[in-house]
Amino acid sequence: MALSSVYESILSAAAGVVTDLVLTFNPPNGSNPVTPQAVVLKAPKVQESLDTPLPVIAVSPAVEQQRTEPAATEGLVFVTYPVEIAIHAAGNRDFAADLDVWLNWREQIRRQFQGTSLAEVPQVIDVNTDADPAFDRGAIPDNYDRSKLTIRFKTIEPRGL
Amino acid sequence: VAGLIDPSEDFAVVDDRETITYYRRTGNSSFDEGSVCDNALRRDVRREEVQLNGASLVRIKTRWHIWAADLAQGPPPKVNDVIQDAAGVRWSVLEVDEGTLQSRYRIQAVQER
Repeated sequence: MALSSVYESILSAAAGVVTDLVLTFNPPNGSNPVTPQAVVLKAPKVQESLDTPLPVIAVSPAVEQQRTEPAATEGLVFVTYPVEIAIHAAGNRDFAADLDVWLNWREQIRRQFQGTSLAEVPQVIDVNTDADPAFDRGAIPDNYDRSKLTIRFKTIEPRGL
Repeated sequence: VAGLIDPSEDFAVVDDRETITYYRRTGNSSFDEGSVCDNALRRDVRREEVQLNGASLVRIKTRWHIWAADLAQGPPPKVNDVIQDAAGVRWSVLEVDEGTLQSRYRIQAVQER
């Protein structure tokens, strides 16, 4: 039986929200449309053959640190969990194609979380999205279009024993 | 002595040549009709995982040798062109070196995703 944590619950719930958007990509070569499910991972990745066809969407703990701060109410703390939602797609050095698609996906994802709670995780009291660069330029030479958002979920939780 | 070294036909004696199609990029999303090259030689293929801003991404690279005479009907190869091998796998051109007295192109390429 899997152990539970607020962070993991947030990741799973966020992945569900993204999957429910049914984001669909129509490959330019006429291949079948791809509707990726958002997957929860320790870190974003694209592996040969396992993550084909692209695009893939990874939901994982962001690089930045989780923060804990005392709440005004005695016995409670605010905890902020940073979550990275990353889209990895085939870029193939085309600097124009699919720009509209990835920006649209980013916008749809951001709107799902902006200033709302997270239905499946009642501890979440606030959600903030961060303005990451729309495209990771470092991925272009390796033929990827990579776009990520960082979303911070703020919870209120018991301080502990 | 003029003519003492003439490597222009040496490619004909290389084993394991492949037939590829070389596409020259003509725009962000467009290519020419392609040039068929019967004398391409694929060297070692390198598969690796690169770490990029917290993400792990697979990258597959190789080096192609293409007989310059096979590409003589068009402009010389350039970065961001595409090589399509016989299996239909496409490779983006990263670097182009002219070697062996301009008789051969040595091309670093990364597989398309």
